[in-house]
Amino acid sequence: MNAISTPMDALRPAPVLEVSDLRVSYGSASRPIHVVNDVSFAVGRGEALGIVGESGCGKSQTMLAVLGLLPSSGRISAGKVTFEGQDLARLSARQLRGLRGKGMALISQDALSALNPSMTIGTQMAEPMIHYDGMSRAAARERCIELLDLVGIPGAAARLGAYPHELSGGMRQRVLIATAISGNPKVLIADEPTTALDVTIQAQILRLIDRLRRDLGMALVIITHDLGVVAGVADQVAVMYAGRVVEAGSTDAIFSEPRHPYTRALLEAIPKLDEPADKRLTPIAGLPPDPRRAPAGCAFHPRCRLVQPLCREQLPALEAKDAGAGHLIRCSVDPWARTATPEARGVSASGALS
Amino acid sequence: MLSFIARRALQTIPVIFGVTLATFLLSQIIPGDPTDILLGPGASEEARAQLRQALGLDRSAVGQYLLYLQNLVQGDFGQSLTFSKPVSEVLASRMMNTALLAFAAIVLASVLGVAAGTFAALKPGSLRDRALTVVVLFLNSMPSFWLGLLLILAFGLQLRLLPVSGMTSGDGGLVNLLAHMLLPTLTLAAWSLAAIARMTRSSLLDVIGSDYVRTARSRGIGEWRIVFFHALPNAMPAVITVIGMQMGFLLSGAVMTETVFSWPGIGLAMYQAISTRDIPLIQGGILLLAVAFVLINFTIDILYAYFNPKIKLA
Amino acid sequence: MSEAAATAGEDTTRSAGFGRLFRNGTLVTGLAILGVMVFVAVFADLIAPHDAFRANPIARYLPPLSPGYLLGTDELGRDILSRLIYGARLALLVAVVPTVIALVIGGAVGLFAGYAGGVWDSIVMRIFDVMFAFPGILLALGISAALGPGLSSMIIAMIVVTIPAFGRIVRGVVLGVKEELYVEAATALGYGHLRIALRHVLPNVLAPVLIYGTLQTGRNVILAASLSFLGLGPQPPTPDWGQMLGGGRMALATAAHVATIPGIAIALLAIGFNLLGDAARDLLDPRMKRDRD
Repeated sequence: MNAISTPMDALRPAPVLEVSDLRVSYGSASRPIHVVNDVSFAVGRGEALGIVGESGCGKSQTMLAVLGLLPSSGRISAGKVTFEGQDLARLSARQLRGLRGKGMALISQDALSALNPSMTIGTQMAEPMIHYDGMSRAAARERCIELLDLVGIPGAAARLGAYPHELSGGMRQRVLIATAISGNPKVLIADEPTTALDVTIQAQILRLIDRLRRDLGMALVIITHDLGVVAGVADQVAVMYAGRVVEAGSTDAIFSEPRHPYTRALLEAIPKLDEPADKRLTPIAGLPPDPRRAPAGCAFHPRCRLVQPLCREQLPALEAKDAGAGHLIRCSVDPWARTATPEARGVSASGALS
Repeated sequence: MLSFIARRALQTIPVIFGVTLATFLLSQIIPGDPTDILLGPGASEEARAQLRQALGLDRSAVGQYLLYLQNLVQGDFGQSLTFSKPVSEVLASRMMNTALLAFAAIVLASVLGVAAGTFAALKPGSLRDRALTVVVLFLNSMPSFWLGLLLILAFGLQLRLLPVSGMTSGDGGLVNLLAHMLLPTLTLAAWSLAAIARMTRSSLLDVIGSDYVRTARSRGIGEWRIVFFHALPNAMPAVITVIGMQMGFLLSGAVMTETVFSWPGIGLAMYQAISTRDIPLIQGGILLLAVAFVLINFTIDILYAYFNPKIKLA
Repeated sequence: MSEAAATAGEDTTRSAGFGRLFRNGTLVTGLAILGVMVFVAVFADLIAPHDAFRANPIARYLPPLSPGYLLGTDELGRDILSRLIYGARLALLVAVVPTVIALVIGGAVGLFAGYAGGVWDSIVMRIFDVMFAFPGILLALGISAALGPGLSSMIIAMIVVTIPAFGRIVRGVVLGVKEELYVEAATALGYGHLRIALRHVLPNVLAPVLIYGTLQTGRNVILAASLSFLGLGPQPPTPDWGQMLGGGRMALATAAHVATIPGIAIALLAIGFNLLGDAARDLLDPRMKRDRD
């Protein structure tokens, strides 16, 4: 088990959501294609976990598996997902449905496509309240207005009759958030919640999510390709590459002591405020591997500048190395080990990749 | 919405004029002397000249078209040779019979088509889904009149369950009418049913794979609510478009179906007109059905806009 | 899909490509049906057991499997199997020829309308709109009836009603291509208009026209059979499937095979073209998989 654990574990509340050794597969049983492999993490009440990686690295598949919303061609082929101690695989379809919305809720990337275009905001928000919670229409309406107020939509009552396409992008995302929290979920899963938005709106939405998480005591799992998003919101970070967690630890540890070449590369690809504006950002060369043709050994080796012969053969384990407790790294070379020499990092010590 | 209707109406009017021009041109492409057909080859030149003048055949093509339009406006579609009655009377007495058949067929095709398409889309790739694909292929490739004959053979001649000809028999009555309607309706609906089922399936699969259906699932909405309240309404615009297009097939398919089942509609009259080369009746029938088709499409567009809030605003 | 794609990706040799085509059941079935039909039509003289025209008054309405008459005889005592075999020639002719001619004319008109644009484009498109306003077989029925029943009238009618769809497809492609920068560049380089049109439009128009053309050929099988059934097609005694079906209709109660057997042949030919069209759509243009017809 590779769950992120720290010496503070004793003080942490029991995890609300725990994923252990999760594997998600597509294709036939004889020739399966694994898009998620050995992924483990846990989040407790009020905690926030960031899952980071490029698109296609398996982060969204992980969350769909957690919610039981994988498309019919996909399946959980190993590992388990536990919510408040219950193994989700043992729940009936009906129990699982009851859990969605109330236990766990989802905010997706593009609110325009995530909201039903032919239903008014009010109708879709109130639907589960009226049809599954037995609320009266009037009560559901009150509750919707309250929720829209909560996410900072002015003139909430007037918005209930609007269709999604009649709202601005930021408004829509707020509505989607209000919709997600309407069942008082214990875990909020946000899949790239700000990617489709303008930069200024992004910050507002992130602040909103962060505030709601604290006020409502939800556990938050935020999925993003942008380490910058994680920095402001998450306590814990898991960096994923090609379906596997390659580095995990507290947000502080990941930012102050990134150890995996991929994490380093991601950090170098985001602009920093404390650096001169003309400093060149280093994008990561190449593309993540196609899960159908995953490379042998470490999946990152074709793009890694510090690749060693061993990397092509052996898949490294996700292990603690000599970093701080709870900081796990999946790298055979580990060029930024505290004991490593600068030579291990190649000629230029400043960048892992070009 | 009103301005949308007005704009759409403005587009429709020229098309209707075009349709009258095209049906007029049909009388212009008749090879030989049209008076031959009306009077027979042995008629005197004097009689021919008289008839030409009476029919306006001595005018220029433009003049003839204007006369044709003028007559149409006055409800004069010409004289039917087959029935020795004005075409307008023949058409008027049969219009409702064709409309009844076409309406019954579109209702049947829509209900069964949407149901079958939904049923298949709920389990893509399953046995029932593949079965639907095969049935759709067969219905699409089968001449409707052949299907009609097979139904007559099976239910009329072998099982002797249903009447196979005409609209009523004996004392008539609603049950009798419905019994007469059943086989022609099925025959006429078959092709459209296949097209509607196919569109429902593919459109529904698109919608079920959409983000907002995933959102609804993530909120714990049950499967049947997802299908009926989230997916189907959003799949409907595409299905409605296909249903509108099917109205065309139904109106023209009426010719075949009415012929096979001797259903006393416009189509049967047109079939009878073919053997006597009764061009005015054929012209009139085509004009009436084409204008009906144009008006139905107009209505469908309005409905489409009404059900689709995004278009309403545009 | 993913497995097939993976295989194709790893192994791009020609044989692997053909292997994939052969695993495509739709394509193989469609080609097999059409292959048999073409074979039968070409070698009709050798295959047909009897003279398709010779009436035999003492052998009328023989049921199928009668000695010497595998599929029985019709109202004049003619051998149905032989008439079906000779009818295959006509069936293929009236399905393919109008489609091809309409494709050429419609393609030229569409190319002209899209390329010329402006008033010309509007005029052509309005004419097409009017032709689309006639539902299904009605316009073909009218033209055929006005010209007088017969094979050539029927073919002319079928060509006329098939032109607009091809015209629209080609015009749509031309408009798309015109927007593309490379045409602007080509114009700037001073290439002739016709050359630009052919060089840039042709490759883009090939897939949609091929797909639509195959499916339309299947529809034309039914259209021809329908017109023929109404008495607008080839006149007796020509062996024509639609007409055979129409002739057998009167004897449905006593000799059902006379009408039902030609129907099977018509449906089979239509299935062949429809399968081929579906396969072409899947192979040539995955985007068109969504139903649009």
